[in-house]
Amino acid sequence: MKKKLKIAAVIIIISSAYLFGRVQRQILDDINMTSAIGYDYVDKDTVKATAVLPVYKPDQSVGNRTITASDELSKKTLSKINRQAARQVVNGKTEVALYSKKVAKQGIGGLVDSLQRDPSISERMMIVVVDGEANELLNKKYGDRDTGVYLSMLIEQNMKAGLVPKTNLHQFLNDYNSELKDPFLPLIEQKNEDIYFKGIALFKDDHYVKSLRQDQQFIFQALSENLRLGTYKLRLKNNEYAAIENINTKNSYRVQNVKGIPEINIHVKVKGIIREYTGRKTDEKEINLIRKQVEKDLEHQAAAMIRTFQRLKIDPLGFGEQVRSRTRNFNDRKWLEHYSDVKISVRAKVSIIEKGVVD
Amino acid sequence: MRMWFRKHPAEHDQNTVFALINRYKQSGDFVHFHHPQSPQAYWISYFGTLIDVEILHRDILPFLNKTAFTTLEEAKAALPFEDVLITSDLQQIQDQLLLGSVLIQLDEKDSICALVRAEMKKAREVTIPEEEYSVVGPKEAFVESITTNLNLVRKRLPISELKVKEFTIGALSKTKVAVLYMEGITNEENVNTVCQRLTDLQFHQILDSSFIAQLIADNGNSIFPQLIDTERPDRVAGVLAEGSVVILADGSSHALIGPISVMELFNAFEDYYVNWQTASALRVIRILAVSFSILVTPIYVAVLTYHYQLIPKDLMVTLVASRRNIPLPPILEAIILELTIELLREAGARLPSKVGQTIGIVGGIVIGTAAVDAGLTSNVLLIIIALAALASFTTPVYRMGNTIRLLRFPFLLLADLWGLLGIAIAFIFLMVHLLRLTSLGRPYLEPIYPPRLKDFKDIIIRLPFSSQSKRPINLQTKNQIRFSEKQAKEVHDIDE
Amino acid sequence: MKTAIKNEFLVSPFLVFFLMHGMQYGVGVLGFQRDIVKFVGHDAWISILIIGILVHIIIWMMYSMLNKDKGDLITIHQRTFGKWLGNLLSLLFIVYVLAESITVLRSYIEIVQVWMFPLLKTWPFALVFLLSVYYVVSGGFRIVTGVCFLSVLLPSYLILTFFVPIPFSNFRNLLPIFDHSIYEIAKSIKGAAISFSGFEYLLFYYSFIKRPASSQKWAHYGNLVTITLYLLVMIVTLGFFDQGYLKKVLWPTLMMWKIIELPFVERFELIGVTSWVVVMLPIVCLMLWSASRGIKEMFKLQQKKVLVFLLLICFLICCLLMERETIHQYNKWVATVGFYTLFGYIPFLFVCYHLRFKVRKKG
Repeated sequence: MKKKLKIAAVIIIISSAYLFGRVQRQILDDINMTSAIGYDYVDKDTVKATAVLPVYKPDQSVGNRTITASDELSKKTLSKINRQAARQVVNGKTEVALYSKKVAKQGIGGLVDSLQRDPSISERMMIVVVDGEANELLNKKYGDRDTGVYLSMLIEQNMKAGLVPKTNLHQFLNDYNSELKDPFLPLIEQKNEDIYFKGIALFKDDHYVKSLRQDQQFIFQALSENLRLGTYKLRLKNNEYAAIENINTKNSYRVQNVKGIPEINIHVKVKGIIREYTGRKTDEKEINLIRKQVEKDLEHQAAAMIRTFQRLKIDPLGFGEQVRSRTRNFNDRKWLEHYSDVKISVRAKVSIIEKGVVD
Repeated sequence: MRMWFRKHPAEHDQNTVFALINRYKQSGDFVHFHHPQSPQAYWISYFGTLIDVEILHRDILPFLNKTAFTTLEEAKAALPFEDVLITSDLQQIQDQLLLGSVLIQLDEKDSICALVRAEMKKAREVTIPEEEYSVVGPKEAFVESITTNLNLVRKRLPISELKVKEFTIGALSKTKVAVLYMEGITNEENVNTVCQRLTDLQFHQILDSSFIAQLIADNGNSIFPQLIDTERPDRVAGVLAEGSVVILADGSSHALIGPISVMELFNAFEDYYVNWQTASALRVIRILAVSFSILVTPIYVAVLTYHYQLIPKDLMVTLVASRRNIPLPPILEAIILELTIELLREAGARLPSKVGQTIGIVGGIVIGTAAVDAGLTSNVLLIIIALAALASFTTPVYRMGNTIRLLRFPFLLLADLWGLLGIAIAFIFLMVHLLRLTSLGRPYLEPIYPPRLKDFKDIIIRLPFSSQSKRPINLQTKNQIRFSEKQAKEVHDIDE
Repeated sequence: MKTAIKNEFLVSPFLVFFLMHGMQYGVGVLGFQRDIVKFVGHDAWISILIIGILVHIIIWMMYSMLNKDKGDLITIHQRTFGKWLGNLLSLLFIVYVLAESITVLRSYIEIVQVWMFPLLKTWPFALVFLLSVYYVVSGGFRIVTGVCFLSVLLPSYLILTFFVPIPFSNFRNLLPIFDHSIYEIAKSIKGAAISFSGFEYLLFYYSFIKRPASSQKWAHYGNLVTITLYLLVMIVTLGFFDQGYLKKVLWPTLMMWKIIELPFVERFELIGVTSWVVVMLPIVCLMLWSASRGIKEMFKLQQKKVLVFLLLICFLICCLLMERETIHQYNKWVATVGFYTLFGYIPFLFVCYHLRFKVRKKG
């Protein structure tokens, strides 16, 4: 009797779990996985969202389909997109989110919120700012995969090569939520049939304020992270060009006078190999010349760049964080007040370790 | 059927040997005749189908006809048998006749009579093991005769410590069952458990040792084998020396070994015939194959039904493209394919020879290709299921393979319900079940739980013989030491 | 006064290591960081060290009582406070144990609902899970210990995953050290101490250990490993998140798993959440075992029946906790009660017990 009761209980539990415990299915071939989402400016309250839906064909090729919808809320646009799609649209595989410059200027905090709140979004997702319309960029198909995957592969490859500073959703959210640091994102542009990197978009809180040109990017990267595979091109006085590759950089911050208005000294060590030189010969004298030139250029660029940051009161390199970690009872407000007056100097030390196989 | 065996209501005058013989005469194969011409007239009766006629004509009748005897005692002395029984116990007579004895009486109506064993010993020749075939090592397998089997074991352990306890089990089958153990090594408690369970066994018919395995298992409702059955006498000899208890049953070509732990089901005895590195690698591969076999289809179902995020973007194209035209949800697709494989296996097993298996596999490939072409299943799943089926056959113990194939279905159903979480829940139930199981009262999951690091020397991996100087702790043997560890340890320097 | 437990039901002393560590290392790991960081920011790891030392002291106190008593919480209570008051206190303790088991189960189900299946109903999952708990607990303490042992060993691969976020981390975040006042640290200890609970069950299972006095070192090792793991997770978390962001994130550990990408699997957090069901199984099992064992001893009831009754209560309360806010409120309540029970009541009991003993010796 007792045994029968037990068996009955087990059967009831299992069958009720089966009957009532069902959860929503997302069968792989019955869903549309957005691979990229782009946001464009419509008016002050409305954004236009463009979702890229890869179309997988049985012959293993991938097509590209985009759906556009506009609304005030980012999640709402997704449901509007859903209305236009034959299969349920899900965003767990979104690789890239693009914001047009215009949207970025308005502030992307609200749009990013939908990304950080959604547990299905990857922390490794890329965020980029588009110079131009995100919709236009996404509508085109580049390469053999859909635009989202293509973009993520493009960005990843460039980050690995050290051409673009390493960013992802996690980094962005860290900087965005930080009191001291300001976020920055890669800036891309579509030209003809290709997408290329234009520079770095700088933010104040969630508003886009300015972009760094391509030639300032190297020193920016050298100051924000330790590069492993950078490249640097320089123009010498005698109108010759040199390209340095495989650059290893290492930065070290020194902060003085933490009690009053701090003073920050940054040392950047750059080690690289000459890969290209339009001059005649790379003897010791010439190399020394190149070395000196690079040091001077870098220090110059850094000074100019940091001045701009201080003028705009933005801190994408995290100077505040450097000071905070060296100060007891650090006061955020006081630092932010004095930020534009803080003396920040950069010293570069370049060493050329190899010059290829010819002299 | 049962009523044929029921004893006729015994009347008073029928309680004699004569009445018994008369009753038996109703069977066509019962022989009962009178020898009047020899020095002494006598009656002889037997079941013609049970005795070896050659023994009768060569070893019994000539001696009886030659010698003059007046009593059965004299006849016993004349016969070249050492176990001639003289009795008037009706029950004994009845039993002995049915086991193939020849009954000798001086007079038909005498109640005292001599019984000579002349049973027909028809058994298969000792052949090559089929289930546990191994490329290296001995190639003898048990046969259906318990005498032969005992001989095969005794040959390998010619010492007096090997003890055999005999039982007769089964009201109808009267099967002879032998319990083997090593005195001074095997834990008495284990032997007693086995003997106790065998004595308590209430079952009318034991046709094979697997009947016993099912009947004396600690948990009869578990799908895990709690005793290993083997057809290799070398394995039996090996585990006896280790301290296990072995059960042999007449009419069965498989011996039962206990107590065991679940990890032993992944050990082939062949592992001891190859070097320890190979053996360890093979065992690890088997365990991985089994985990793969259980988990891979459920994971496929879980990921495709619920967790699309998990799939790397490079794999996405292959997976989605292969699923594009499939009308069925992953769970149905998987179950149909699993059943197809089971069907092929079952059909292959029922076909007369190994050709059946080949046909089955070829059929499988043809059906599989056709199913993919027709868009009924995805080729990715077909590969997965075929690999999983293949992996389930790597277990050296045949019964474990069945268990594994069956285990997959609850995992599949739960994967369909709650995705990966469902698989975890199924895993939890499996884990707890294994924890709760015992084999002859010893923990089934040993040496994992209770954790005994020393027992890992011959579980999952196999260390060299030199480090196997102690017997497994799980068997709680009386003598832990297998051989002396002390070896002439010479210290050599380089170039000396 | 009490029949000794049969030898075959006892477990080896070193398994106390797994009982101790397995019970402490549960759902708390997924989100304990917030409660500490809220008060002490980047000095959170100091609070963990301090809690660790406190727990060591309490483990020592419990052993000092149990070694003398050779019984469990029930007998200690009875000897210290007399039969009626002692039993009442034991009953209150058991109510707390039950409340804690509900917290663990409901918190885990909430994580599943947020991270995996938003539409998962609480009750079918709770039902199936509690069925497995019944299956474990009805097997007795040996099986509970076995589950504890395997649930520590099998998901131990997850420790490796805590090293993956390191390349994405900035350990300057941890500087400067000792930037907070003692008062702030004390407040953080109160907030997070509940994550380290689980050692108190020693009071129930002590009499099931072979040569129990010798198991003390294993209990301390268990706690040591727990503290080390919590410390590791905390330090990586502090490096991985900026303070501002960390204060927003509800489950920082799960968030860290999101960054992991393996060649065959992306989005590791789903695997983490799934593995965690194995991690939290022994916790609920041992809690319910302790509760049912305690009641059995006090009222001489059949443990199986008590267990079914407790499971039913557990199930019903789990289903009643529906919204995030109610769950949060409930958890907070249990955490407060837990803090005072573990770090206030047990030392108090320790003092009472020894005083009583001394008085009796004199008299």
